[in-house]
Amino acid sequence: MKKIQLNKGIYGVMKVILFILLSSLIIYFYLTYRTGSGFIISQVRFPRLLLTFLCGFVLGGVGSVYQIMLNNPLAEPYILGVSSGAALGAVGAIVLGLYLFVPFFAFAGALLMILTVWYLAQIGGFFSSTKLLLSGIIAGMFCASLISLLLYFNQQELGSIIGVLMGNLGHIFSVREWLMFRIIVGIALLLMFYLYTLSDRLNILTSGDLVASSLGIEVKSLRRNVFVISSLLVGFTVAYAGIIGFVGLLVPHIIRMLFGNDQRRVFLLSSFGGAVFLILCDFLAMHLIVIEIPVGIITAFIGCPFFIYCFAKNR
Amino acid sequence: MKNILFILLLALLFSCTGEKRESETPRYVVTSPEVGEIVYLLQGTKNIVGVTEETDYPLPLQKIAKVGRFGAVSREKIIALEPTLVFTSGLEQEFLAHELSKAGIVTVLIYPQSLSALLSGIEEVARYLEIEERGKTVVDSLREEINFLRFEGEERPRVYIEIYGDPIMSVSRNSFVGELIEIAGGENIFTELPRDYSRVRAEDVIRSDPEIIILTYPGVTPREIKFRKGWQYISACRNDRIYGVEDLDPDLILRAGPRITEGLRILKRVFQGI
Repeated sequence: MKKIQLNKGIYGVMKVILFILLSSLIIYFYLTYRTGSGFIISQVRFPRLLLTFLCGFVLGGVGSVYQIMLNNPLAEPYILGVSSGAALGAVGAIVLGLYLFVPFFAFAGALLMILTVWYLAQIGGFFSSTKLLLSGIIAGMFCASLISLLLYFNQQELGSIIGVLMGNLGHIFSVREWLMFRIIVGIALLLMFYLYTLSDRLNILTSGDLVASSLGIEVKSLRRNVFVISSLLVGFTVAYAGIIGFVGLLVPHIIRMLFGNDQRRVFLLSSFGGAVFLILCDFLAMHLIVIEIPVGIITAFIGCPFFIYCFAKNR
Repeated sequence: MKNILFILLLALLFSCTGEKRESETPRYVVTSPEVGEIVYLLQGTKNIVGVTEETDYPLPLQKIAKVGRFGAVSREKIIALEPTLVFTSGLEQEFLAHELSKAGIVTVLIYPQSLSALLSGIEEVARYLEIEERGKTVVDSLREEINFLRFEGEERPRVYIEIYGDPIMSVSRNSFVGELIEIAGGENIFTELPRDYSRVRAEDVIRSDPEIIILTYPGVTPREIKFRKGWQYISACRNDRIYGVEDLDPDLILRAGPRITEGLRILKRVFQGI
């Protein structure tokens, strides 16, 4: 296997230091802007920071993995329908008035969706990334139609449902829920580490399924593992924060433009880049105008121009 | 020849249907529960032929034919009822009023956003019902009652009113509900908000340390508020002064109708800790 050094000389080190400095600055402002009270920072801002970090971290990383696993530059963490399943679960809980159980319902929806999509992708006996992609998109669309139906008949719950569909990182934790959330963060980090360990194999997969299997990689089980683990992770994020677009699609692309194609590096940088990017977006969403803006709007609003800038510079 | 006869016959048929109810009694459709309460107070259920699903008070109004829900009113059902007058509300119903008036139906839009607008709204409804005198009496007695209930003291408890839980939303001082809080003797922790009913930040609630919390939406209990992270040190949570829908029927303060005096009375009791 080809060994690629993480940092090519002093230039690479500089980039990493700059990145760390910039992220610390963003996090510092995120926690302390317009408040000096330690109580607010520890009880309100920090939980939100952790949730935002987790979402950006997972979405960026999973996005980079999906793009390789599905061999499709348009792939993003939500493309296999899991997010729609989770959103349907969340909207269902909201409509039933079970506000406290929204995360549970969302996660249950995600799990059901993983099984459904996996089953659909097996129909006909063989399995391919195209079939997985199609099954995911079809199942996702079906859930989306159900969400629209529920939305149409329950317009009084519009506020909560918009939070699920456009992303809302302002989840208010109860004391007990916070304990569970920290456990979830622990599990998520372990799963992310597992995805990282698959990077070498995913690198080979970019040369095509044939090459990969001739090198002794079990392509099918690799795809299954990636799909199940990633879906669980995405399920966690949708359960607490709804659907936040853009991060999982374009952050990995920007990272590839700036730092090359080695999946190990792309995965790490996409995860941390996604996290910092989302923290910045959420900071803007909270403070840009007096009313909080759904964060999903901000991500695309500042992300797209930046993407075009990178695109033009890379030419 | 046969065709022409047929067309003539059709034309005759259509010309007949139009003006069937020229000089008959008026027929009212009311599409918002609060205006329904106003109309009922003024003249009972007389001549009301259609209401929306949400119209649940007073009881006699519930038995009247339904024309859909507040946000999804069926145009067809309204037109089928052949109303002489439709009372609509604001928000989503502004467009409904516009559409109905295009169909040639007389609509009246009543959407009071303050107490004085409510009183003049009642007068306006009375004018359309052609019982102006009755309207004046009702408005005068309501005004008197409000003035009687108006809090004149000095010590006002800080109040946080939560009208929606996810995301949390509250009301500004300029809103209808904000005005009620003020009159009943509370001090709304959110004086300035970008909109009358607006999303707020949890940290701002914690920082303002409200002494009383009022929840006006179903599906939430005071206990759950107490266990929100960081909320346990708020005065209202420490002193158990959180009031849910069981303690205070939200319709009494959220609906700009004649029952607001009842709402004011309960709010006053809550604020004074009786």
